[in-house]
Amino acid sequence: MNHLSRQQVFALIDGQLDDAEERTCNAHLAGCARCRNEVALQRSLDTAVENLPLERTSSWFTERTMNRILRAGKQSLSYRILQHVGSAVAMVAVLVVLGYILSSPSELLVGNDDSASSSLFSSWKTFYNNVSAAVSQNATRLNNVFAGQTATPVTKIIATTLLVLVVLAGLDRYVFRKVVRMKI
Amino acid sequence: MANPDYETIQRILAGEKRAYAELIDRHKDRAMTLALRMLKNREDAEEALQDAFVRAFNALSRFEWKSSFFTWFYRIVYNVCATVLSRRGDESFSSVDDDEGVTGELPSLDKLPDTDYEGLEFRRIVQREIDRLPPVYASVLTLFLIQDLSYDEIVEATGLPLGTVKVRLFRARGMLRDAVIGALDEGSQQSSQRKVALKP
Repeated sequence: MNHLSRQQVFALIDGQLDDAEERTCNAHLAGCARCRNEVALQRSLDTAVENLPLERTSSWFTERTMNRILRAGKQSLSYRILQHVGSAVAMVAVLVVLGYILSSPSELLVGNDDSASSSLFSSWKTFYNNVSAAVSQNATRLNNVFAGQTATPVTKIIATTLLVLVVLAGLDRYVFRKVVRMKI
Repeated sequence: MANPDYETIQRILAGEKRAYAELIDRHKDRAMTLALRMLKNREDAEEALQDAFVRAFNALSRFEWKSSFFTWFYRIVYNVCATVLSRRGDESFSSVDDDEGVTGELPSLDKLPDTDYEGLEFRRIVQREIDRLPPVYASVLTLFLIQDLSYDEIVEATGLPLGTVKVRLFRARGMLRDAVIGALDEGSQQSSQRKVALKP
């Protein structure tokens, strides 16, 4: 018989050989110092690996991990609340800005220049008139909120931009998660 | 005998979250050994391990005891570490060629002098060489020899097919064996040269 192969050495050590194969290998080992040495080396290697000291985590590992787990539980509650508040604020903001814009679109969207009318513009105006009629009641109320104030187009654009940012922050889970993590 | 993990997990699921610290203490060092063998960096290994414990906690209610807790948990550790390796751009972990076997021939040990296979120097070399093994092999070898998992448990822990596990384990042991023999051989040659140099 030739010398034992790697597979045979590993299988012998692991007890993976069937009875006949094991007998054959043992018979070979009885007369072959080289293979006996090889099996001894492999057993020693396995034992050495098994007995290597375990790697230790830092002393505060458990505490730090538990803090993270417990804090995550608390965060998830505040996160959920923030999400609901954020969504509510966002929805209100959308309604306010829509009502506000639709209540006086001529200044904000197209200015007062009627000469700009085109077929597309006419379609838009028709659409606007329909929507405007539908929200006129709310629009009137909203105008009352701003009664006595004169909002310039620039002011309206800035207000709209800010409200859009609020909407994005309210709807974007990622942004909110970042906000919560930064504890802002 | 009662399974301590089972009892602890029941308490956690009943609302005693702080009992999870017991599970962490029970498994952290073995899991850290696996993470460190794969990531080769203590800081990354500890961070990955922390992620794994958090994930395991969040998934605890879905754990069905089809395997032991630690086999299930090692799978999470293994997956987290594999993700870290792929983020690093370490392609050796995913693109390993499992068909390429280690040769069946064993280099002769004749050149080596009588070596104390249980001595401190031998263990030191083994430690150094296992640290140098590529993650793909070090992970399987660690699960088999250090964590004492069976082939089937390694399949469970890694999600790899049984044939792949056997091939990787075979190669890992072969590589470690050759590296240790190489180091011993080199050490014995240096020792001989020193003796020659000292002669008048």
